[in-house]
Amino acid sequence: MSPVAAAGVWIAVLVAVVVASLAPAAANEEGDALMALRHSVKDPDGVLASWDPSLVNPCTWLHVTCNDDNHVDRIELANMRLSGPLPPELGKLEQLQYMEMNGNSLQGPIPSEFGKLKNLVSMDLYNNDLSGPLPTTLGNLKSLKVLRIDHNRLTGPIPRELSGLPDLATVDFSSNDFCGTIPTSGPFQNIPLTSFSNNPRLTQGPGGHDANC
Amino acid sequence: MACAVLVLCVGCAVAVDEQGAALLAWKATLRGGDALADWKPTDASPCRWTGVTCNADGGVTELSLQYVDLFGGVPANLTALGSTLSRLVLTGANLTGAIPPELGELPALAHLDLSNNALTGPIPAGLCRPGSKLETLYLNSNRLEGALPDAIGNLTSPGASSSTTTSSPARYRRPSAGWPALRCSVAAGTRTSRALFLPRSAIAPQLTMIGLAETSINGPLPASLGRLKNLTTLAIYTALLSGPIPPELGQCTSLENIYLYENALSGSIPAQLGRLKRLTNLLLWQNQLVGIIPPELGSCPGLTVVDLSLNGLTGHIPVSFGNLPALQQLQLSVNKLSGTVPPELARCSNLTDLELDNNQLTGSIPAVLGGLPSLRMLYLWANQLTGTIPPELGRCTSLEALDLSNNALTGPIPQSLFALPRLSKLLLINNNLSGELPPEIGNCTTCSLQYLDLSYNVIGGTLPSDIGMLTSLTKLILSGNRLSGFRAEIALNLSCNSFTGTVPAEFTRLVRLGVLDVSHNQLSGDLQTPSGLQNLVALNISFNGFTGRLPETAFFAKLPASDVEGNPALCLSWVRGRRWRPRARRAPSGAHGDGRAALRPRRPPRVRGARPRPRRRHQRRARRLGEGRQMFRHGTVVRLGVPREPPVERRDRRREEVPVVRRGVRGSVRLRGERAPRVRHRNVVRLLGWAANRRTRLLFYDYLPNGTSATFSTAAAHGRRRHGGAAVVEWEVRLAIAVEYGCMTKITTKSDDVQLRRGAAGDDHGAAAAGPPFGEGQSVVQWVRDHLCRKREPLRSSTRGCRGRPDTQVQEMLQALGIALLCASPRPGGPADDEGRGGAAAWHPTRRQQHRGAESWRRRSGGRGRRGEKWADLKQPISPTKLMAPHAQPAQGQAQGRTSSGSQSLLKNRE
Repeated sequence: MSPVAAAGVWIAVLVAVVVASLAPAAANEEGDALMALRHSVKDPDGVLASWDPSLVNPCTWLHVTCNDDNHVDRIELANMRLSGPLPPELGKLEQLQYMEMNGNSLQGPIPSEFGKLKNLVSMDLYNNDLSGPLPTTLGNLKSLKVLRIDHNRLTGPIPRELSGLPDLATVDFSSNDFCGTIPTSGPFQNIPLTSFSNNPRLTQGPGGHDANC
Repeated sequence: MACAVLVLCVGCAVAVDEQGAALLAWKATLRGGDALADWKPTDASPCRWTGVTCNADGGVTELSLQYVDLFGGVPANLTALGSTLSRLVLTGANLTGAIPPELGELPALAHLDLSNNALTGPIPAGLCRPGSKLETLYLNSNRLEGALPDAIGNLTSPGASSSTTTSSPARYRRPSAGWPALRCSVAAGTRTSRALFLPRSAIAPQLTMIGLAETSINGPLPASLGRLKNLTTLAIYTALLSGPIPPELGQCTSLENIYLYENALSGSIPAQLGRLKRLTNLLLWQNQLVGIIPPELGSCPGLTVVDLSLNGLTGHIPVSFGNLPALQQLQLSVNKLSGTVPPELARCSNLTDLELDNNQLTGSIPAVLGGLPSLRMLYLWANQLTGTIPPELGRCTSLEALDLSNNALTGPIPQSLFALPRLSKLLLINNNLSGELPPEIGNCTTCSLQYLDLSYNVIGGTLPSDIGMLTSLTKLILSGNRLSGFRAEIALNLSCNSFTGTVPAEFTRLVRLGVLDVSHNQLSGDLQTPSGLQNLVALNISFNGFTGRLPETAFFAKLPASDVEGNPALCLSWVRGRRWRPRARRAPSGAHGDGRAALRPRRPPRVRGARPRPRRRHQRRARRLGEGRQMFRHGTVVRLGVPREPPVERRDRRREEVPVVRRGVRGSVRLRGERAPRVRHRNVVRLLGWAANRRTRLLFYDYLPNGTSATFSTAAAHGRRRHGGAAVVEWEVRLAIAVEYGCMTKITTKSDDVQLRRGAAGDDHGAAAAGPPFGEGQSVVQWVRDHLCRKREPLRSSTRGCRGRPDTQVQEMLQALGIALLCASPRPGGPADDEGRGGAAAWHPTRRQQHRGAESWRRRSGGRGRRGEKWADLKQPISPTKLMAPHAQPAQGQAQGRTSSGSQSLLKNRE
């Protein structure tokens, strides 16, 4: 074997090794992100017990579904009595389409990293105990159609970045502590005012400058 | 285009008229033409087509297609219909592209509605040609951009003023009073949006409202707006407007609402706005406006809301604002206004919000502002105000927020402020306020003060102890003052509030403070301040958010764990030498496995290496929080030396492996175990309960037959030499504890005795009438006694109910039952008569000895010599049978006869 051929073989092997090592790493990243969720929340009923990080991908875990490419596209953890904060790592689930985590006791802010969920169609975080402001990065979720975050303790203004979401159709911000004014443009033209109810500091129409918002 | 021509030709062939041909040509451009299926070229006239209305002469007067998906553009070439078409409605039709300027050339067009589409581009000036008959123009809910056409002013038709008062179209409510009307319009779904909508139903094309809020509309406001004599609302807020506000706006004599906030408008506010006699709302905040606030605004009698905040306005606040009786909100924050706060504002009796913060105002706060009964918010912070805070402000009974921070105010804080019933926020940060805090501060029971910040002043004197009475207070900041002490009090209890932030450094000046309780707040930061309190004898910082390390002082080392618990981020550091050795920590975990249980003996403790310092009597009375602290070194492994006894250790609750329990009522003896059993871990030594009285606090653990952790700890070497490693507790000592335990253990669903309860329930299942339901909160003793009275056998019934349960559980249960049986003795003065622990203690001779021993030992702080004597009688073991003999009962006999492994385990360790 000539030296050149030998070098070629080595490069091929090297490439193969690199490819082989990259593929599962990418899959594991999603598992790691979900494990971050598991570690972040309290799970009194053990609904996350099947989440085994030693598997190549999380596709066999309960309450998680994957698309054909073995990427997580759904998290179905509604009404599971989970409590604790949402980990920012969930933002790594780039193929996620449905986040169903309503009806738990999730606390803390909605991580701004959720703005990286480019394929997210539905974000259901209603009936939790989330607080803090709504991250402006949610304006990046161009596929978002459903955003239900009612019945939490979210504060601050409703980011106008959300007005740029073309497909946003179902929105519920009610029963929080938002302030400022209700957006009127873009998708918000067709969203009923009941979706903003029970936010004492949220007003409609033109208003004065609210220094406390 | 070829297609269109083809259709046109077909139409010609079958002789559809010119109008139909034009419509068919447009239909051919649509991708969603299916909706127009009945538009057929074979028809002679389009008059029967969907959406088409004709007059008697066959001329198309109206084309109205609503909420159908057409997927195309707005028809440009309708000249064939031009002579008759007066209404063109294409709303919600999914139309794209630009508005064709040709529409403006339709001579008869009076009503144009292109709303709710996805139209782009600018509003063509051609729509607004002079002489247009356009009456209504709906372009809302599109994606239009660009500037407002200057020609918009052409849409006023001077010749058609005859019927200007007809009602508005149903879909849009005429805004009569600004905000509420807009709210209605939003609710109705006709939102102000990216484009212009100019609703007018009257024949005269006179605009009443321009709504372009939250759009990308840019460029300057056209001066021609001034021609819109009927304009009531100009709502172009949160957009991209630039340039000056046209002075011609002052000619819109009907104008009531000017909403131009959040734009990039520059220049000054035109004085001509003062001519707008109907002006109610003037919202120009967050622009780039400069110059003065025109005093002419004071001649707009209806002015209710003026918000000019966040601009670059200079000059004085016009005195003429005092002429505005309707004024409710005056917000001029974040400008460069100078001069004084005009006292004339006090004439605006409806004023609710006066926000003049972040300017360069000088002078003093007018005392006459106290005459504003409706005032809710008074923000004057970040100015250069001098003088004192007028006590008259205490007359503003509606006041909710008062912020006078960052000024140069002097003098005392008026006491009247603390009596304002609705005041929730009082911020007086960074002034030169002096004097003392009014002692009445905590007297106000009706007050709702939540946030009090008086930091960075020169407030001296002492901190009123009643400050803790402000029950709604969530934030109290007093830093940077000259508070020197604590008024005539040595105890400060701020517990169970919602205080946040750190403990103010000023607290270190509270030299007389003996007792500080800040538990159950949300305080953070380190404990430097409390550690500087020299005279502190008791401190409770539990259930906060303190961080850092626990100061390594003797005081903190002695602090009971219950007084520092509930601070997750607090690093509990231990003084070396008193530390719980890791080696010892491992011991119990290994020893715990066999499930045998006995109770750890209670002993009067002796603290090695740290003698309690003597207390004076008055001091003792004053101390409540820290009772008994001197007895034990918390946070250390204390070896309790008892003659002829193995070293016994008492473990601190603060250690991580010990479940956290809260202390009971101070001073009374009380055993608590209800929270403890819930914590289970193989590495956790289960806390059975604990007891506390005025002097001692004890923890009870399962007996570990493999040896106590003390034998592995520092004391081990010494202890072993002395006791030969036989780390077994005397039976009677154990029994004493057991009796106490049984008498005090209440049966609750939360406690481990729930197993016992289940066992009993299982037994009662077959014979429901046998006894009363197993009562929640009933003590084991009481329950057993009840059963004994009914000649029942608790042991047997329970074991039956426990079938299938793990051995450890059964053992625990039986152990408890065995104890209960002992306690159930009807001996006079015994625990069966008095379920209180005190009774149990009094009943048991050994216990009494212990108390006496402890007492004498404590009295003599050395306690070396006589201790042995006091405990000498323990050398004579008292057997359990002896104890039971005088009042032996059949039940007890049975219990012993059928004794279980649990009871045996209790007995087995007897030497």
